[in-house]
Amino acid sequence: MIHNPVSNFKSDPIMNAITLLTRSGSADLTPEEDAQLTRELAAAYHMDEAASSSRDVQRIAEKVRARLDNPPPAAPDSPQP
Amino acid sequence: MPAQFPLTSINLITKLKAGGDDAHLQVSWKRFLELYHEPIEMIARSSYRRHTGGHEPSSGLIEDAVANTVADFFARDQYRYDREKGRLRAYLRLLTNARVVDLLRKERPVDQRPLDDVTENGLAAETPGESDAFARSLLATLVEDLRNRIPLRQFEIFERVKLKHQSPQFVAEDLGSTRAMIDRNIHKAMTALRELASQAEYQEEFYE
Repeated sequence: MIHNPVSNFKSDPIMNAITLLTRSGSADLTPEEDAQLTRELAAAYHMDEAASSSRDVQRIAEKVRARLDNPPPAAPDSPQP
Repeated sequence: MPAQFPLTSINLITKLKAGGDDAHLQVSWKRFLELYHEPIEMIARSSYRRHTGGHEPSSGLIEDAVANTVADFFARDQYRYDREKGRLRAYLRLLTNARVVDLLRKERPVDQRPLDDVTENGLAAETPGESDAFARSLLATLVEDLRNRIPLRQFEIFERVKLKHQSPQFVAEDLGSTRAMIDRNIHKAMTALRELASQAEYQEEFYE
C-alpha cells in the first residue's frame, strides 16, 4: 500500500524533502527545492555519521550485544507486537 | 524499475522486507541501530509518557528500551520483521511499545495507568517528532543505498558537494576534473537517488 503525503508537508522540511525526492516526472528541481532537499539529505547523512561515533549509541550497542548473548526468557505476559 | 538496479537489492530496507528465515541475518544490527536509534528513542519516550500520564523517562530506561527493541528485532523468531507484518515504521512502534511496557512493569511509577488497558486500546498516532526522526533515518538509509549503487567516484563527488558542502569548483580542482564533469556526476547521482526512492520498499515507508 502506497501512502499519500501528509497534507501539511510544506510546513515540514523533512517531509517536503521526501516529497521532492519522490515527485514523479522528470521536471528538474528549482534552486530553492534543490537547496531544501540537499539540506535534509545532509542532515540525515550527518546524523548517521554522528551515530557511528556516538558514545550513547555505543553504550546502547553494548546493551544490545549483552541481550543478544544472553537473551532473557520471554515473559508469558509480555506484550507481543 | 530501471535496469541498472538489480532485483537482488543490497539495501537494508529491502533486505528486511524480503522475508524468509534468514532475511534479518543479512542486516547488521549495529548498522540498524546507528540508522534507526533516533526514531526508536522517540517512540520509546512517547510510549513511556503515554503509559505514565506524562512522566519523563530516565535516559537509562530509554537506552534499555532501544537496546531491547533492537536485540529482540534481530534475535527472537517471533519478533523478526517481514513485510507480512505490515510497514516497518508501524512494526517498530509496536515492538518498542511492548519493550517499554516490559520495563514499566519493573519500574511501576505510582500514578501509572493500567498497562493492559493501554495496550489493548492500541497505539496513539505517530507524533511529529517520531515522523521526522523516522524520515531522517530513511533518508540516511537511502544515502547508504546510493553509496552501494553508483560508481565510487560518482558517490565521492556527490558526498563532497551535496552532503559536505564543498564547492563544486574546489572538488573539480582537487580531483583534477572539470566543473562540467562534477555537475554531470551530481546530476546522475541525484537521478539515481530519486529512482531508488521511487522503489515500493521506500514508498510505503515514507509517509504517515
